[in-house]
Amino acid sequence: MACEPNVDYGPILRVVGLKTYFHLRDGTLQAVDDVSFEVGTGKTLCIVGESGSGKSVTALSIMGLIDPPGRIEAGGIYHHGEDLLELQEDELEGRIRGNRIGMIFQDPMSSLNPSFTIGDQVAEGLVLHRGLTRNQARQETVDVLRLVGIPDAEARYDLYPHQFSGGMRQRAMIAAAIICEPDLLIADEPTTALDVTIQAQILRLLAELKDKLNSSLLMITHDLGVVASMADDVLVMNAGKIVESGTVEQMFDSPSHPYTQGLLNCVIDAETQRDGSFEVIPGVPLVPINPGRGCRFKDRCTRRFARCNREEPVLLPIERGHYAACHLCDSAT
Amino acid sequence: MSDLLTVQDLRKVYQIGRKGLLQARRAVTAVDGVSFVVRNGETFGLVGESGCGKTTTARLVLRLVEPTSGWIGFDGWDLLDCNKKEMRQRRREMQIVFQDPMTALNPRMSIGTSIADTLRFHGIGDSRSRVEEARTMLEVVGLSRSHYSGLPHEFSGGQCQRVGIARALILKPKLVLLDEPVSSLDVSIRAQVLNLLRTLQNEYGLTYIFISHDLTVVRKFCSTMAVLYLGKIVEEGLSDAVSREPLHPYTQALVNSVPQPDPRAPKARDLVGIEGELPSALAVPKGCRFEGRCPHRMKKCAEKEPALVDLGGNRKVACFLHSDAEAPTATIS
Repeated sequence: MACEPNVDYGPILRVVGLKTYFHLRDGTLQAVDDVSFEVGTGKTLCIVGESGSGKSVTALSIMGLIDPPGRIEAGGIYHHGEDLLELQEDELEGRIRGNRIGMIFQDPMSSLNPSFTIGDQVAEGLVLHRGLTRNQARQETVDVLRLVGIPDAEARYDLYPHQFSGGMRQRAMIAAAIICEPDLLIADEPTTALDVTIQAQILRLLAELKDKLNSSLLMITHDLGVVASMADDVLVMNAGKIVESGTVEQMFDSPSHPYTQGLLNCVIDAETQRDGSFEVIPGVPLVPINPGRGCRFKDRCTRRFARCNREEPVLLPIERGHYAACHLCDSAT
Repeated sequence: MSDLLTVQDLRKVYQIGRKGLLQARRAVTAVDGVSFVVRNGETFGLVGESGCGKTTTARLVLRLVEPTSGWIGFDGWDLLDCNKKEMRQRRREMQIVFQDPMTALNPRMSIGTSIADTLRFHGIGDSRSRVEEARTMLEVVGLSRSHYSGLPHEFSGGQCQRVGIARALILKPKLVLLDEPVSSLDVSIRAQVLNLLRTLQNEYGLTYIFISHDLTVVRKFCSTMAVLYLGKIVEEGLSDAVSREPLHPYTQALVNSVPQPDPRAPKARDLVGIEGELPSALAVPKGCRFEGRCPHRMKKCAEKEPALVDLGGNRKVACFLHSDAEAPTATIS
């Protein structure tokens, strides 16, 4: 392996103060509100949260795929130090998206075009970014299809998405995302639609490819099992805000935000009695439309106090590399 | 405990179109000789991946789909012998909760009407008493009486699933089929709905058939479980024992494929899963159905099909590693 695991090459992606808002009839949905984080070179960062927490919008913002009524209001997204938000759409499309940053979506059936062959869609990166013709790209595409574990790749090149199973479609999506050997892969719930035995295969494939291509991985998931088996670092999001961030060990060993603690408790502990009840977080996730003052988790929090209603907590360090946005963790209280 | 539901040798064959004019019609056996017993008051889990026949089995039990052959005994009745009128009466006692609560509700009908209509359909009460009963039911499932006139889109997924449960329970059924009732819900909401189901079961003395692909939930929620693979039960037993010590290689693969929410558990690249995918139901392997993916396959597995054998202690397994008994050869009529 060319890459020494212990050498820190600095972040490949740095997101600073990102605000992505959706201007709706009912008000402004603060889908992502002042989010900052880094993806270290060669590292896997998992963003965890429930539906509506802003994790997918964060990924779409990085790829420049936010359409009206959504708008990136503020912030910077630095890829190798270059601010992607400063780039024109054609530059982003021509140079970055699909070339340096590859993206894998949740549902491979709806992200593949049903009327083009798998091969043509996987080869598109080579045609678009390297100026090859489809014929020139064919051999390389077949090699990549083989690399992602599609058997009989030569023959399957000419098949259409409906002729593939769910797992094979997701492999094809991954092939399309890695064909230009990007240094950052963004995977949005890549295994949620798959059965568990296929999920295990795809997760293993992603982990192996990340090493082989020497790239970094930003993975979005709601499954804490997936997080524990994939991540180096973890971000927990709730209602558009990061509530906690740290290494995977810090997050599972000493979760500090009541939301993170609640999520971990919800993951069913198989050792408990069958007739024992399941741990819950009361209430439903907040939809951050005009969220008002105070902490966005306060209505579901069992440990809220007066300050939580008045003041929004900010991310503060708890220990080296471990941050939480909760007044309980603020030593000044 | 007495038996509430007995299913014997249930089989469903779908005839599908021929490939060419001169070719024979092809048949897909979705459920292939499934037998099980559900006792009064228990929760029976049906586990398997997509395409294994678990949902078809549920629909066959309710006679929403007519079985090709087999026998279903419910509460002293031979279900397949019931005429339309008798069947309608039986359906009051066996209800189903569907996977996707949003699509299971009529978007133009208030949730209260959706619930009350179940009573109207079965000719119970007058319009005023039906509304009153539906309102009471909303309270029972943790919503409020005032939600009666709300439309489905005004509610979250978890709330809609509560409506689905209210609609199933308003007839005071004995048996409730839960078809992946929490799969589309967020982790924190999932626990709330499972707790509700557990409480209602104790309160009304309900018997559940719980269909799921999620072994961790089944382990904790169900007393007994059966694992389905390509339309056949491969293993059955007390759910805790089966998940703690799975005997069939497929069950073992299912258990081992689930990533654990523990950073010290095996990482994704070391997960001991299985290779390959579910074979097409059109080309069911001749011997054991799992033979092509099984790490322990022997010579005879490709030729003979193992029978589901009672090993004692409530455990049944269909695998030559545990018994030499062969399955009787099935003939497709």
